Amino acid sequence: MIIEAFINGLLFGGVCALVALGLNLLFGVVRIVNLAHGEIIMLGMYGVFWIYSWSKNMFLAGLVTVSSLIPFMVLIQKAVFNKLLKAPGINQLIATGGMILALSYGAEIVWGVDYRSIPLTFPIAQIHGVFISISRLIAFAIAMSCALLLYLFLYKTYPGMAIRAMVQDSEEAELLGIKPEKMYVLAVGITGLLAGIAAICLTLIYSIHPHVGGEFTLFAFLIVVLGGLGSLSGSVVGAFIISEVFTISSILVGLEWAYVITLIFFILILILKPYGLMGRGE
Amino acid sequence: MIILRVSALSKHFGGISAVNNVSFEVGKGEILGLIGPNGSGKTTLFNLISGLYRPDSGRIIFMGEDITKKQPHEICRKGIARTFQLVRAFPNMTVLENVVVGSIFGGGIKDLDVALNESRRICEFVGLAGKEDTPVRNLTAVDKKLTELARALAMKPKLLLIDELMAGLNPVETEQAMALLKRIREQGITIFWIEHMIKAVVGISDRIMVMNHGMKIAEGRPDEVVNDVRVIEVYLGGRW
Amino acid sequence: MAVNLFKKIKWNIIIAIIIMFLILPILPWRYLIHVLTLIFIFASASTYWSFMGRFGLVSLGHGAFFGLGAYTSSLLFNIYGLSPWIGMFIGGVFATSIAVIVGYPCFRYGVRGAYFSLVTLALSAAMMYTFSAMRGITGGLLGLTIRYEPGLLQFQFPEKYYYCYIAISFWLLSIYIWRRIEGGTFIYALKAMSDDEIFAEHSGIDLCKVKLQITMLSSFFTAICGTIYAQAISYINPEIAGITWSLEIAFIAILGGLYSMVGPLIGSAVYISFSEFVRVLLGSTLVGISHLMLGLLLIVFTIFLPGGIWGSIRTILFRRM
Repeated sequence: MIIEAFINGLLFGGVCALVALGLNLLFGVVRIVNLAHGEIIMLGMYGVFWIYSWSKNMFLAGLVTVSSLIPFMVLIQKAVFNKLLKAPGINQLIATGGMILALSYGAEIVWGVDYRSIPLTFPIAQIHGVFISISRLIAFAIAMSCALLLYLFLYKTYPGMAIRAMVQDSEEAELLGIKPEKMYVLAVGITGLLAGIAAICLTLIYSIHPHVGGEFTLFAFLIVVLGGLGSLSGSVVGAFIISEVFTISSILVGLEWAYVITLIFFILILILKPYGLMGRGE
Repeated sequence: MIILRVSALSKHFGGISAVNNVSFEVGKGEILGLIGPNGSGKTTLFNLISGLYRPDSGRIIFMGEDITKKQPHEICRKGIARTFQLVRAFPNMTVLENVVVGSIFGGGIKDLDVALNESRRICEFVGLAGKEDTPVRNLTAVDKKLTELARALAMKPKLLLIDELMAGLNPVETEQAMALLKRIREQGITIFWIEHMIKAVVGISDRIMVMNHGMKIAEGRPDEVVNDVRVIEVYLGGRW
Repeated sequence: MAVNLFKKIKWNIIIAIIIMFLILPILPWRYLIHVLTLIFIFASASTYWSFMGRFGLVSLGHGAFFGLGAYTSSLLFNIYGLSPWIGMFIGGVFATSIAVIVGYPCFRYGVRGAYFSLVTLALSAAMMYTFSAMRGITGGLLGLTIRYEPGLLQFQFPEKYYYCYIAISFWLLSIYIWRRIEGGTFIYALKAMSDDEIFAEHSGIDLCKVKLQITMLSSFFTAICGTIYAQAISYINPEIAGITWSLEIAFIAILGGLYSMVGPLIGSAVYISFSEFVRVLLGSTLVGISHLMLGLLLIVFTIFLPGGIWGSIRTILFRRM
């Protein structure tokens, strides 16, 4: 039982990592705390759902969703985030908090509160007596490939290096000729991409509901803080840790208490190690 | 009588020794000047004494009590007040309110009216009479410094750490500042003072201490220190 | 000149409230009384929230205290028959204890700004899931109905307007408490802390203690708001401890202007009237629209109008000076 939970936790962790990476990138480069990250993913999930329902083609659904989320994120960047850059931190929380309400209740109005899921079922494999859901496996595979591509981008290409430079020291980066505005657009675009792919993965595993965003955001923040704001590898490690804590707790004490435990774990981490396991200080 | 004794104090940041094995004493009622080139560790030394940083090693003994590991607000209440190199004040409060903060929380006055009266008196003492109700963010740099100083005085300090008072003052203001320092000393307050304007420091300090690269390199009466070969080397970069 | 106009408006609001107080029993529209009650309950909770919010301690988790107050008094009454008047205080004590348990490590170890807000968010979510998980006692997601037993001691009244009186009085209490704080020495510590923490520390202010004190005050009274709500509505569910509720409490204050005394009331009046209006007009088809509007308003406000509604009015008036 526990082993199953452990494996499921790993598989879920892969997807969590993707969600967390998007959030982390946004913070590392644009310095924005986006409380509504989960809601963006929720929108993506609806996108995948509707396009798949219409076309019965998962690839098309994924493609359209991702290519809409990227400009959407850029739009938000220009309309909202840019204005928040110079403002006190509380404004970021308020504006993105407002986005949570606007996006989730907006979705509620447009699409109703019913749970939707993709009518795409995958078998459940049995390996050595342990049940593994193939859909989770596929989601994991997609997420990890995406993470790998992201790694290659960040470490092997010039734009990627520029982004890493911005994360480390934005002033220095600017002095070296890296234009912040362009970097913001790039980072936000990548966040949109990651959110879109995360949405695809999550549709395979979960049902869709206007308020699922909240859970994802919460997990994303837990992971990002645990791994360290600004540390991308920390987010990956943190994702697996948080995923395991949550999955194993839910097997042991039930879903709701699992949330409580994970949240308390989060509060403790914030207090004891605000810079996370691998993060740098502010 | 020794009011402050610092022994073997050290603080490193990464690989750099900001303060390196510094020891000295401050006598009660004296004005001790601290000079040295930029980056010699003077402000870091103040930060260690005021509790902003924790030293890596060494001890700080104030009036017989070990304050090495104490928090800033505790140290304030024991009787050490400081000003900052880049002048600090509460921008959204008035001059009077700034001083009242020092009076209540540093000076320990619980009654608001008493604190207000006391603060007005101190504003007059430093020369801010008539500006008490101006919000600090509207003040000139000089008046901001005076506000910061007034707030420090309201804390009823026994030891006042002043981090650069003269920067940006014209000659008239400099004279006034020097006179003010003398008046503060007459109140019985000991002054430990970082300053770049050598003339001012030499003018009123009883003793001077010189730092370079985090270490104390000279200490003594102003005329001794100024003629000390090592000090000249530090400022002029070599014998000539 | 503008200052006098400003003061006049403020006093007019207070007088309007007093008049409301007097004519309430005569008003035939029970629904209006219900809406007013909600407005003042939320105004109170938001005002107590602003005790922290205006000094940079932005809690996005006040629902945790609200819910704790509501559930404590309601459960104690339903199960043990303990009067909600007493249960109210016990709820307040619980809320304050949680605030201290979570707050002390935060304040001692310098968890501030967005990190602090995240902790409060997590607290609120944790509280909601806890109420939901304890379904044996609390009824879980289905919620809890207060046992019907009218009587003064049971904090239940036959006529709805009594609850409105209590809500209004409680809001006035929050104003009174704020005035007392403003007139004393504590306000200096709070203002200093929010202006420059390091400088405040070096003025002899014990930051941890100051933050704890204001948090304890805020959480205690917010919990009591929860109890008043529970009694007035007779039904509660875990949502009132959750994130949406917490965000609403915070945002109502910000909408109306969190740096003023009447700001939260204005924000509450605007938001609640709007939600109820929409609900009545559009029925259950567009239930979420008030939240959507609040969200959009907040985005627009933070970009263009940082002072909230009241703050903006104030600024416009002062510019005429």
